Amino acid sequence: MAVNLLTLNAASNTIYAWRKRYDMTTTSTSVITFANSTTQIIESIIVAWDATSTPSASDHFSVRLNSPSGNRYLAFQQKLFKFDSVQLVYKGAPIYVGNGEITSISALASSSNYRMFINGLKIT
Amino acid sequence: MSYNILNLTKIEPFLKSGVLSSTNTTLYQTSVADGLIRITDLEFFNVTTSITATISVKAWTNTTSNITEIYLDNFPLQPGNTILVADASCPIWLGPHAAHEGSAGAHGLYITTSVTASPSGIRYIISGEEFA
Repeated sequence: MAVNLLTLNAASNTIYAWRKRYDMTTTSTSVITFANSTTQIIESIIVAWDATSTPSASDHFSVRLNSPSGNRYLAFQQKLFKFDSVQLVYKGAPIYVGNGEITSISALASSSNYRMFINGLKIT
Repeated sequence: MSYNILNLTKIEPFLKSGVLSSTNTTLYQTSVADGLIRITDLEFFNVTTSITATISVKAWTNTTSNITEIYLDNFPLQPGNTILVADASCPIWLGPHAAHEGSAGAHGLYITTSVTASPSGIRYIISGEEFA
């Protein structure tokens, strides 16, 4: 069971903030693994293009949630896009992780110029 | 150290904006030695077409020259672009935090930027909350 947020107290529970930066590669890689016993809130997943060169039309990336009940893609073969002048190219919505439903997050990109930033909260 | 958010005694919103200097610019410095901040807006804008530069965003401890985390490392400033690093739907935690799954935690205290060329009026805005 996921933790009941209303029952949390400082004497017996913790909420820690964490973050992770990952330089994406052309090989699908497990970026983060999650223990079954913990509840986590992934607050944001950011993917950005980190190069002075202009991405080609075929550049893309994917972010996958690995689950025993079937993998799910947050972004599958997502093209890099620049709407107006914003350079940040993908923003993932908050995700709740707990009870072994999501065991890891994997990432894959067509270029090593992609950067991935993940921010979250770990609740125990 | 790291903060158990359930034990916090202070949550202070902040907002700061300004112009990047030609050397390192401190975007925000926490009021306590081991601050924890949640950035809900961080943008760089007014990048003119004459600038070819990169920008770095780093979280430091207050120990001299002790870089603990590089958030953006020589990220390109494209002319005419706004670089949106964080917003309310995409917050960023910086500062002391617990290890995620066995990896070491970093201890950031204040946020600085540097550019590889004259910034020539590049502006920034940063806002969020400081926790202690």
